[in-house]
Amino acid sequence: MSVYYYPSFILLLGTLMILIQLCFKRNHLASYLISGISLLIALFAQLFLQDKSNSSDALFIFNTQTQFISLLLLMVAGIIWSQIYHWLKTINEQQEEYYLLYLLAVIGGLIMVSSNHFASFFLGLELMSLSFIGLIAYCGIDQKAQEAGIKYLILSAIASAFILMGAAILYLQFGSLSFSSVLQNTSTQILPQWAVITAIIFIFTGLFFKLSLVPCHLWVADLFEGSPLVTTAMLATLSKLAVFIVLWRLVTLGNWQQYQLIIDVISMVAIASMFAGNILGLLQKNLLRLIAYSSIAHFGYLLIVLLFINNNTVSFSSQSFTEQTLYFYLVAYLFTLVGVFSIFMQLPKIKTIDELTGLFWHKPFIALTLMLLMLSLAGIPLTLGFMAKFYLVLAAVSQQLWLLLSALVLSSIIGLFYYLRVIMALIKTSDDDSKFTEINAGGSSVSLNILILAIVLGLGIFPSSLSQFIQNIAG
Amino acid sequence: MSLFLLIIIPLLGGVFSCYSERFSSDLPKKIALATLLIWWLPIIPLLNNMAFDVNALQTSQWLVNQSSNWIPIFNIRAHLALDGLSFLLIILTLLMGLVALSSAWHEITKRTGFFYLNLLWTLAGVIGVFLAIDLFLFFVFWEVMLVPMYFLISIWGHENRQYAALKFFIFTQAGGLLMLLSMCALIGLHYQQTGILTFNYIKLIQNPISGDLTFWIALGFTIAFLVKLPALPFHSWLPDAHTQAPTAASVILAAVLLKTGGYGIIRFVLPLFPQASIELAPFMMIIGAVGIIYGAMMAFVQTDLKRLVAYSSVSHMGFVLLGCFAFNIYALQGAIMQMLAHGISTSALFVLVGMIQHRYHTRDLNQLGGLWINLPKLSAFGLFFGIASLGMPGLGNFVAEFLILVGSFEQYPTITVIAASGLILAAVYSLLLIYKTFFGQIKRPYDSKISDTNTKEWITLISMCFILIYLGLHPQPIFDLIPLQFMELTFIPSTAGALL
Repeated sequence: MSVYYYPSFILLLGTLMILIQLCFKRNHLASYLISGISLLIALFAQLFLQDKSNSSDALFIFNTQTQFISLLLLMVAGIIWSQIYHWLKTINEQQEEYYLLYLLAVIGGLIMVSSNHFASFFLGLELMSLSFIGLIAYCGIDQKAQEAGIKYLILSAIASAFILMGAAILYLQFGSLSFSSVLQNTSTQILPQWAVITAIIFIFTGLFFKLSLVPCHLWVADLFEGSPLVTTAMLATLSKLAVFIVLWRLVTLGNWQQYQLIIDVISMVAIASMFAGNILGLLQKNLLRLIAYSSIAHFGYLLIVLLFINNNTVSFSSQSFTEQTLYFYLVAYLFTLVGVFSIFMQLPKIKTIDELTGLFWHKPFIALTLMLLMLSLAGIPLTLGFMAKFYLVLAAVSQQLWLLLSALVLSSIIGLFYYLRVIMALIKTSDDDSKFTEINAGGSSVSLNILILAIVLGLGIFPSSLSQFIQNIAG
Repeated sequence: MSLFLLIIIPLLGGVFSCYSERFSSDLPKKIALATLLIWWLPIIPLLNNMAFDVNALQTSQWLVNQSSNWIPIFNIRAHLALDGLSFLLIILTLLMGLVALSSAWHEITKRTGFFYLNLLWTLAGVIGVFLAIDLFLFFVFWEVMLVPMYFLISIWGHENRQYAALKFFIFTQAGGLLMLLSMCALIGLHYQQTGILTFNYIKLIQNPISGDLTFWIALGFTIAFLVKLPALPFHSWLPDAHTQAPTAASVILAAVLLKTGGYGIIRFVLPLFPQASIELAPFMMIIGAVGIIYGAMMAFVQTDLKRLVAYSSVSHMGFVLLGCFAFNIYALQGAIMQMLAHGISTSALFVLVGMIQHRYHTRDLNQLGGLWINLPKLSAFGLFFGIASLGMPGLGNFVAEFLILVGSFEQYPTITVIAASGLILAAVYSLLLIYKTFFGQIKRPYDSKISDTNTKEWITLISMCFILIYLGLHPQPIFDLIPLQFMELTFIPSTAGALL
């Protein structure tokens, strides 16, 4: 077996160990540790794989880019994992299975990001989606969680069906399901072009559903609100990261930008997502719904990178720079979002913006972290989010995508309003201090906040090391 | 490193003063005062070779020029440089920092530590804007200085503060995003045309970009600066922000934050886009003239003292816009002088309004009147600064407005004539302000509990008077400092240069 499979294999081993442990004796701490250790070893294994040369086989492709994305995925998973224990202790359910499903979802993500074949991609996707259904509906008593679980089950099944249909049509055209062969020989046309475009649209529909892009976004707010917080964090980060990477690989490998209709569809979806996300977020009271809409908008922004074509209008926007933009944006957005979710996990009783009122004067450090994360999401300079936006704008300007850029500017101004609402609530004075009693401000959460601040602010002020690293990866 | 010190000192001072609140709520303001005084130290060696060595000014634009690596992948450098223009504005910033501190001294009693942190950080951001010569760094300072200002308004402001702070932030951010877009387009075009990827201002002005897009890029930059100036269609954040902000924040806002707009036009728009700015000029002249009249007329109908002064700012900053786009050396000198004089006279008016509000708990013109009997000294200052704002000869504002009108008359006689009528309107609202508050019907009977200016207030105000008188009587040293000959500005050659 090739060394490249080690990280997934280690996680699989961890899953099996938890299963075996469950047969003998239930122990929350043990499951927590097993999952944590396997994640950690997988992370290190992934780290050692960074310098390995490229390799690919029928199902998977391993190169510096996929290794980097896998590393990112494992890091995000690790940060989320570190918060699960506290949260799980508060619910009245069997706790150990959560780790099982969690690891399976991470494995699904790992399979997806390095898949090179519709079969492996689909396996990864289903592994992740099915685990998510369990993770979403984990709290059996909670009506909202049940509803969210059913919603996700049905909708993700439909999305998968769309993807399968698209893959089938592509198979009809190309006679193979492997990404590299499917997407490259477009010379021998068996089917008419509209059939290929239809196939692409089918696949897009499925992927856009997972990315919650307009018009497939209606589920996301209910799901974010209804499902357990940790699951929401994973849905917003892991699943979207993996799916976006697949989308990116399909579009660039297949050179789907050659079809004008596809370009129009992507532009329309991007613009609609930016505006829908930001406008719907405006008056949300619930924090998680707000984050859900913000994530629609952010993936709308990110969709712009799919439109970069190598027409060399300005030569620094090479393929490599486009990839750098994608990776930088993903890193910035994911770490910011993970930070936001870990702050939410430290504030277990707080569900709406109004309940945040006055937090800054009681728990300045947590509030300050949340404030900076909001500024990062809004893209204010000296935060990581701004650097990501800068990459995106620079790349988009060099491609002269003026329509999308104006949509980006307008919608981010609208979006600024709700990020500011959170900050405004934080600094208002409140008379009622009792609601802050349940804040989890132990040593571990403080150190996690420091880590988040170091990433968001440190890399925001001195981004050169990260951008250098990403340049090497993409170069 | 002296230029970097100028930014680091207030940042550190702010942190110390925020931390010191744990020990005593009086300590933060003392630390802020100490910071503001220490802040002058890096300036002193500069004073030495600037004010007293005119030869240094003749040889190059940049007196101090420091840079270090920041983001090598985009060739972005942390590049600070100082020339006469930024020197003047930095002196203004430091002075107004002291004025703001003086007005906050008794007014701010809650959360003092965080207040002075924000105050000092705003000033640090403004200084950064005046010093940054790398476009990216300039943009970063431009945006970041808004965040502490937002906190100043939304935490310590008056009744409707949240709305005002939000409006302020969103307006200026919108301008900022437009600037980001234009900046990226500028860099991209420059790279396309010369093959050099650089954010360095000095390199960018050597090869101005050309092509169809230039006009739009210039427009993007200009709108971003117009929002801050503020010029007519984008001004509506200013009255709200000024009215709701605490006095110290109003002072900073009027005295230095608005000046970044004018500075940006002079420093970036005019040299970077020589051709496009000539194309833009007629529109900008019209916007400026309309702004002058509109601001003055709006000031006239206000009943809220702070709003009145805020609209008078809109009117005065219209003159700056007029001066910048006249492409005439006198007008440009006048515009810079207007920035300085307006900075001092308007912030003095805000300080006075703050004092009145502190004593009477109202800013409503209809509830004030006849303050002279209670507050003779304060009213005398009010008279002085009111007259300064209407452009009395002998004070800085007169020199500025006169030069701007003389300079722009040549190219745009009609617009200038219209703009000049703004001076009459200025007299109307200034005299109304003086009449309704300090003289007129006595609505506030004598009350021995309300005290006149104390020593601290008196010193603050009297020093501002002297600066204005100096600017009005002997402005030449100021003009000598501005290195117009090096700034790569195009001037439309004057046929009737003998006007002066």
